[in-house]
Amino acid sequence: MNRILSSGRWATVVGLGVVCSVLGAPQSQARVAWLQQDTEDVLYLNDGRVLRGRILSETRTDVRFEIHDRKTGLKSQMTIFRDQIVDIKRGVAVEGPAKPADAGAEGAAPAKAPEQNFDPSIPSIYVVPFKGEMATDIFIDVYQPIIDDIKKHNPTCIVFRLDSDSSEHKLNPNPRAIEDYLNFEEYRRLVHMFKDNFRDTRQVMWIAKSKGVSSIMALAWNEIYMEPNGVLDGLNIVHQVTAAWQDPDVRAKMQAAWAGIAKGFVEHGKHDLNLAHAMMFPNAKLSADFKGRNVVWKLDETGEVVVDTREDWTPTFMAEDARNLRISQETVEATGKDNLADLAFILGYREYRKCDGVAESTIEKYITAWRERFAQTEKLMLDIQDYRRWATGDDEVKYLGAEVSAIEKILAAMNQFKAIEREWERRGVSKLDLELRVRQIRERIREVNNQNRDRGRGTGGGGGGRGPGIPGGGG
Amino acid sequence: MKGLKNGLMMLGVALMLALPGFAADRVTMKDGRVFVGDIVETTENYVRVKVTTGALVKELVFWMNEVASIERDIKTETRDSGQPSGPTPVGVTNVETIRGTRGSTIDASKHGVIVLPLSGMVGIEFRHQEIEAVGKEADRIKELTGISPIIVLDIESGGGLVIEMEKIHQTLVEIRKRHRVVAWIREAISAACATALHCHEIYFRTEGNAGAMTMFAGTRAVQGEELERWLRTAGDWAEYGGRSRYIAEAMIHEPKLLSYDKDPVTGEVTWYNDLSGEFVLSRAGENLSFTVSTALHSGFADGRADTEEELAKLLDLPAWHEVSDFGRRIHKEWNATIERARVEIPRLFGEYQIIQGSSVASNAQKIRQAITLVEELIRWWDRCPNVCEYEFGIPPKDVLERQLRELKKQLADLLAQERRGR
Repeated sequence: MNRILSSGRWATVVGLGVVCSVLGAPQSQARVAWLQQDTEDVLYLNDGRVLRGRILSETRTDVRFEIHDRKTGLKSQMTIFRDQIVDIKRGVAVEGPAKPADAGAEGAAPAKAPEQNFDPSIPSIYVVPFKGEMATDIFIDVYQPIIDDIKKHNPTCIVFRLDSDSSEHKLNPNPRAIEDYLNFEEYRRLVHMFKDNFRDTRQVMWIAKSKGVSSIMALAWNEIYMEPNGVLDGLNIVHQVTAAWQDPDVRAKMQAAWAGIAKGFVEHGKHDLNLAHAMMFPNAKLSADFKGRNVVWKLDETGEVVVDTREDWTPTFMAEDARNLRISQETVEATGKDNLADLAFILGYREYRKCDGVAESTIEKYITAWRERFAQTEKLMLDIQDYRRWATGDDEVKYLGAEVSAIEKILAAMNQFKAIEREWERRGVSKLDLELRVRQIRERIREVNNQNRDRGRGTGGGGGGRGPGIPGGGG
Repeated sequence: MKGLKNGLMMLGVALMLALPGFAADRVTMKDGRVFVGDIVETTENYVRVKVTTGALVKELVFWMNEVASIERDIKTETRDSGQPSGPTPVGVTNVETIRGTRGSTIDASKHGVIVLPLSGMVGIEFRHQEIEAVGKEADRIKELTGISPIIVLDIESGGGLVIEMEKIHQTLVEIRKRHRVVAWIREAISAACATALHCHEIYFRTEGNAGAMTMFAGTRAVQGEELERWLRTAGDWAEYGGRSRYIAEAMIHEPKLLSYDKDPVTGEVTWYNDLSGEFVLSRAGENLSFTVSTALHSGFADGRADTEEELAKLLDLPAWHEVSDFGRRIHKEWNATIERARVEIPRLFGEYQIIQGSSVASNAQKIRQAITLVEELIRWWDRCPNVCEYEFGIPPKDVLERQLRELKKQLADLLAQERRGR
C-alpha cells in the first residue's frame, strides 16, 4: 500500500520551509505558504466527494482546481466540470491547525486534517505497458500471460501506459511497409482481450506518446490521461495507405473501408467519429462546440474552437490541447516511486496499491530479447551475402555450408519470435523462402560432391545457386 | 411387438379417457398442427408450450406469426398432444441431444440459433457452399424437432470475389424462405456487406462496420453499363432486405449522395439520394461505410450486441442457445483446409523448382517429381478450387489432368528407352 506522499518528502518540505524562513527566500516562502493558509476553497461534488484547495481559474463550463490534501501534503491540479459541482464555498476557514506538525518541535499536536470524501477502501492498480512499435513490440501473443496475471490480482483499475511511435518505422526503411502496420484485426483482438476479460474493471489509457497507428488503440478507451509531454497523433496512416489509388471510386472505397475499421475502435472508446475522421484525413477540417462538459466536433470551421482549417494536415494533440478539448480527462505527470502517485490521486484513489504484476517486466524483457535477436539476424543476412560471393571454386561447398548454417539460425530466431518473422516478411524475405533456399543449397552441395566423385577429386567447381532476394543485394 | 406397443398405448388412452377431463392450453398452428399442453411463456413474438407426446415431455417454441390461435384452460380428455393434421414434429428424446450432420451435435431442448462464422475473403474462406449447408442443417433440425433455428451469420470479412456474390445471393434467397436469417457484423466490407443486406435483420458489434461495395478489377472501378448493372443489382438486394436502395448506391459510386430525416416521434427514417436530409451519410467524393452509431441511428442496423447473451435478447430468445454446432464446425474445417493450402501449395512449387533445376536428379526422377506435383495440385483443386484459381493461378483441373497424362507417357517412354539401351 502506498501513501500518496512519503514522510520523507514531507520532512523535506517542512525542512525547506524552515530554511527558507531563515534565509528569507520569497519563492520558498510561497511554497510553504499554502500549508499555512487559514482559508481554502471547497467544492462539493454530486458524487459526494468534497474537494478542498484553491480555485486557480474558472470558465462557464469548468473550474481549474488545485486540491490540497493536508493530511498527506499532496497537492494536485485537476479540472472539474460545473455539472459535477453541487456547491462552491470560497475562502472557508480551514478546520483544525493550519500548519502540519513540525517534526522538530516537541509537544506539537499533530494537525487534524479536514476530511476528504475519497473511497475508503484501498484500491489496487495494475499497469499494462503498450510500448514500442505496433505489431512487433506490441504483439498480441505476449499479452496472454499478462491477462492471466491480471485475473490473479483482480485490480480495481487497469492502467494502460501507451508509449508508441509507429510513424517512423525505425526498423524498416521501406515506406510501403506502412500498410503492414494496419493489422487492425490483430489490434482489435488485443483490445477485446482486455475489454472482454475485465468488463467490470475500470480501465484507463495513460499516454506518454502515441504516434502512428497506436493512436487507434488509444482511442479504444474512453478514459484517457496524458503525460505533460504526451502527444496523440498519426491516424493519417489511414489516408497514406489509400491516397495512392488513382481511380476515385476505388480510392473512396478504400478510404471508407479502412476508416470504417479504424472508427470501430473509436466507437469502443465512445469518442466522436468526426474527431477521428479529421485525424485520419488531411482534407477534413475540424472545429468544436462546447455544450456543458460535452464537446461536439464538426468537420468544418463553424465551431467555437477551430482546430484545423488546412487541407494538407491532420491535427496533432499535445497534452494540454487534449485536455482543453476534452479528448483527455487530465494531464498527469509520472510521480512517486512507482510513477503512479499523481495519476492515482486524479483517479480518485487517495491511497492505492500498485499490483506487483508481471506485465512491465514481461514486456521489457520481450522487447529487449526480440530486438537483440533481430539485430543478430540482420548481421547474419549480411554474412549470407558475403558467403554467396565467396561460394565459388574450391571454397564453394564450404561457404554454401556456412550459408545454410546462417539461414538455420535466422529460422530459429523466427520460430522463437513471431515479430522477427513478421519484420523480415515486411522486407520481402519469408520463412518459406529461407527454407527453400536451404533445400536448394543442399541439392547443390549434393551436385558438387557428385561431380567431385566423378572427377575423382576432393573439391568441386561450378557456381552456387541463387536464392531468394535479400535486402541490400543477393540473388 | 408393434401390436403389443399399440395395445399398451390404446390401454393408456382408454384409461385416460376413463378419468375426468383435464384443463390444458391449446395452440393451433396456421399449417393445421394442434398442440395441447401448458403454455409456459408468451411474448408478442413467440409462445412456449410444454407438450406431452406419449411418454415424452418437451417444450416447443412457436413464432406468433405461425400461430392461428391460442386457447387457454380448455377442457380436454387427454393431456397428450395428439396427432397433428400437418407434418408431425418428431421429438427424439427428452434431452434432445442427437447426432447432427458430420459429427455435429443437436440440442433442440430450447429454441435457439445455428451460427455460421463467415470470415476471410468472399469466394475463398467465405463461400455460398457453407451458407447452403447450414440452410440444409436448419431444415433438418426443423424436420426433426419442429422448431426452426435462427441462422446467425457472424461476419468478419473485407470482401472478395464478385462472382461468388451471385451464388450467395441465390443461396440466401432460398434459405430466407424457410428460416429467419440474421447478420451479426464485426466487419462487412464490399461483398461481405452485400451478403448482410440479404438478411432479415442486421446487428452490429460495437466495432462493427459495413459498406464500401465498389466493384473493381485491378486498380479500376467498373464503369458504364457494368457499373449501372451493379448499382441496380445491389439496390435490388438492399430492397429485398428491407432497406433503401440509395444506401447500396452510396456504398458503390462516390458521386452518389445519401442523407436521411428521422421523425423525432415515430423514429421513421426517410432516405434521400441527395443532401437534403438532416443527417448526411455520404457526400460527393465519399463512399459509405456504416459504424455502429450511424447504423443504429439511421435504422440500417436493428441493434447492437457485443455478446451472445446480448444478441439473444435482441432476437427475443429467452437465452443464448446454439441448437447445433454444425456451422462452427464447417467454418473451422474449411478454414483449416485453406490454411494448409496456403502453406503446402507454395512449398510444392518451391520443391519442384529445386528438383527441376538440379543436375543431380535424373530425367526420370524429374518427371516422377513433376507427376507427384501435378497429382497433388489436382487433389488441391478438388479440396479448394477457388484458392487454386484465384490465389495461386494454378491451371484448371482439366488442364492439369492432361498434363499428368502427358508426363506419365513421357516417363513410360523414357523407361522403355532405358530398357532398350541396356
